Amino acid sequence: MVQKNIEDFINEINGSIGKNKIITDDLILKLYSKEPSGLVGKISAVIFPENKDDISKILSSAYKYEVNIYPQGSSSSLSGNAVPLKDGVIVSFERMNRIKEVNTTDNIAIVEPGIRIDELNLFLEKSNYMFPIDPASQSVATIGGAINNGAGGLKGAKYGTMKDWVNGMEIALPDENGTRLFLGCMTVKCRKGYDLARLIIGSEGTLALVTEAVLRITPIPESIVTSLALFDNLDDLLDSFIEMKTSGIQPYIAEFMDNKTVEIASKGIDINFDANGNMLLLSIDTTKESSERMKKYLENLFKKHNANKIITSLNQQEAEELGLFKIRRNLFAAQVSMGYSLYGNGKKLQVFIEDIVVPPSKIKLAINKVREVSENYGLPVTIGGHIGDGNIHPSVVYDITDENMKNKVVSWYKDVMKIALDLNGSISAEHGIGLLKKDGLIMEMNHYNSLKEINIMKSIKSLFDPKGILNPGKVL
Amino acid sequence: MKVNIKSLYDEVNRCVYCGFCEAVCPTINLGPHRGYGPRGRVNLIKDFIENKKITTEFLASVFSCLLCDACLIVCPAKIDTGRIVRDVRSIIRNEYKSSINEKITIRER
Amino acid sequence: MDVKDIMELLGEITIKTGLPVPIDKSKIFEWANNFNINRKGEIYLYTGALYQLIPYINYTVKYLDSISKLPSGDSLINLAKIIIKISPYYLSSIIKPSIKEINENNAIVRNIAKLLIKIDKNIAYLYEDDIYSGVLLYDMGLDDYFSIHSQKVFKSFKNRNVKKIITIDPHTTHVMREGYQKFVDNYDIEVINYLELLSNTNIDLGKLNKTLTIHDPCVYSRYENIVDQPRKLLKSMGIRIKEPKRSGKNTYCCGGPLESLSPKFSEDIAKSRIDQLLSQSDTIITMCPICKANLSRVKPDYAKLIDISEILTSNI
Repeated sequence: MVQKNIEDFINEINGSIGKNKIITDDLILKLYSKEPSGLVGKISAVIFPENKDDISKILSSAYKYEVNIYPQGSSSSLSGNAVPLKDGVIVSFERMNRIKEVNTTDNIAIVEPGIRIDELNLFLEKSNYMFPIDPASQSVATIGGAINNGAGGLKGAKYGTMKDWVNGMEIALPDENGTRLFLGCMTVKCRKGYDLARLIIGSEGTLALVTEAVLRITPIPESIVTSLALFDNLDDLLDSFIEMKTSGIQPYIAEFMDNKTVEIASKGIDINFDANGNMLLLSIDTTKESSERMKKYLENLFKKHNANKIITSLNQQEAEELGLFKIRRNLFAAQVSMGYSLYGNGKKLQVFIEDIVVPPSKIKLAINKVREVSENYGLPVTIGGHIGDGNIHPSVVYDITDENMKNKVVSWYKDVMKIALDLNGSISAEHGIGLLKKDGLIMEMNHYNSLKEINIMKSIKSLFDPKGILNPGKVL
Repeated sequence: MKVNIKSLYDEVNRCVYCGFCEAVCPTINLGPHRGYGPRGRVNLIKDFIENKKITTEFLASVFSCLLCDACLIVCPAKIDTGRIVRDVRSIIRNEYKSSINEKITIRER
Repeated sequence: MDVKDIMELLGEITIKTGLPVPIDKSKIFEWANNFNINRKGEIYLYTGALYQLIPYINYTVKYLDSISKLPSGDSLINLAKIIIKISPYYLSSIIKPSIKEINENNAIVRNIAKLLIKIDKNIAYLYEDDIYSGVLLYDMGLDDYFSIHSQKVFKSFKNRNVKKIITIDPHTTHVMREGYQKFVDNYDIEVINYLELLSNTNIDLGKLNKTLTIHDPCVYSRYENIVDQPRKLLKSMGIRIKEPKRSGKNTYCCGGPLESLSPKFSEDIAKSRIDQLLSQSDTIITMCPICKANLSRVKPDYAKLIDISEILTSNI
């Protein structure tokens, strides 16, 4: 049964934005109420705005009838960020996926929120530019979703996260008129009082809807040297990384996987080398002239730290030919197939990806502790992550119909967050709070003796969204 | 030949909803909703097998597929959407032919 | 147009006439007129008629689509359904695709036959038994129709003692391997694709100084694992192959399979694909009649689409 206020709301926007932008087919509604986190919600309609005016009209009517709005990009988030908890409607941005302007002198791209990161990069590549934020889901993740989730990615150590790559944005507020504001600036340098643009980044759709973004773009490096090194001893791997950082080199990509994870992820892929041990995958951006020198430097460094295998490429094409990224790219698929070999085909599996971050100097401690805790629980855990910025993703695959195991996973999840906090880290680096980490957020505020922060956040939420209709139940 | 619904169900049930398939699908950006892409097709089919219910949009989802299988290559769970969609078309024809009263139309966005 | 109507018409016509469009059967083997190929042998060329039929199918689809858009469209389509049940050939006089297109596709089949004769002059042809495979029925899940039709085809093979066939397009190759295996009891026909066959020989095709962009058909690359074979043949001629961003296992569909169900989708997908291909070079190699027809609808005048068989026979 659709509630009266929602029915009136749908009728009103049917008239204001047009019928063909609203879907109420039962099966399609169920489709949009799911998420990779495994959570499922329930809604009354999916609305597909095609321009900014549509969004303002939707918000204005939603405010009037007090209808919950769940904004969605591509539903690839991992913490329950976009799943509709209570009744309401989903606003899907998939039809707002235009690139409005690219200016390489100003280093900006102005885009609609529904464009996928990969699609944007395909376009920018023609001008030899890129948008450097590359979550593992970049092939489907949208700019709007990445902004709202404060996404990071493989290049985090060098380029940071979304908060460093959005100069400004237009938002629409859930008020009488769906008022639109331009936050931040067109330029990198910007001192417009309080930085509200950065407040929206990572707000998970709870404060406003982003209608357009001014993104910073950067030239694609001239040359990228990549080295894959395998170490029997995790300490050796981490020491080599520390030595590199000490000598003043900032990696372009620095991914690692522990030995058990390498074993799983290298199964069933076509590579012509044996992958044994803990893996460090390191890329450094350089010039054509200095790439040979950098290659030698890396090879010597890893040799010195007892790597059992070192394969280095001078450019990206060679890296592809040698298959250096294959193990990393296969990680998610390997986790899924590991699940089926553990629990049998026909089971309903969930891949649960943790997202803690610690200062990079503490990463060795963090990994060892996570390994220890996971073994105590007897859970099949893989550990990989972005070593350059201290973000690690311990992951577990489990059968969701097994209650006993589910409880274990929930308890493990808390323990892993606790490890991060004990090492001066944080409970979420790039996946966000959503639903799954709300307890974790309180845990963190408590840990840092900073509980009042929650109250300030709640006040901010009610300033932006007085009726509490935007993505209710998330974050706070 | 009769389609084996059990094995069909086991296969669609493997979907982890990551959406990687949507990046390579030629039809998803043309249709009005996610049902015009592989993640949508797989999950609609799952729902269809569970609840035996068909809607106009479900039919459009199943008949707008090119069977090109671009999605299979990027799927972490190796779900073969092309072959699944073909088999589901056959099930619809065999078992639901008489209950489809409306036209099946592939809609543009 | 209603997808159900299209399926119904397709199924009925195929069962009644053996072909998906009501045309004279001799059109299928007219390419072999004045062409010296045996009637009997160990291995048979089986075209499955797809190259020959594509001009007729596309014309019919366009025709039906235009009828359905008339004010009285629904009743006209119903009338067509009735006529087909009574006398399908009544409609054959209105199906008149361009002669040029028909000749082009017949020439492709002739080129492929030339290549086969060059490696083995004992390869035979089925002539009037070179009947349509029923692949469209299979793809649309019209299993009731497909089951009847495939058994008919198998029976005609058996009557002629056919044990091994050579197929020439991706869709027929796939259905003869997977579809028939599922639907025909005791199916024992060995199916080899001509590109697989040629690439396993040391055939000397001469040299050709050209740069060409390759478009992999989805069904070859992802269903039948035919990716390296055409490349090996082209490289043996010294041809420089340009690969679009999406090629091989990651190839991008031409949009053809939706031509009859949604012409608009089909055209939009073809446009995306032709742009991807033309970013590499002006001349594109196709390996499937559906790809060629669909991409040619949207190609700019300067661009050229050539079936791989024409390249492979350029020195023969």
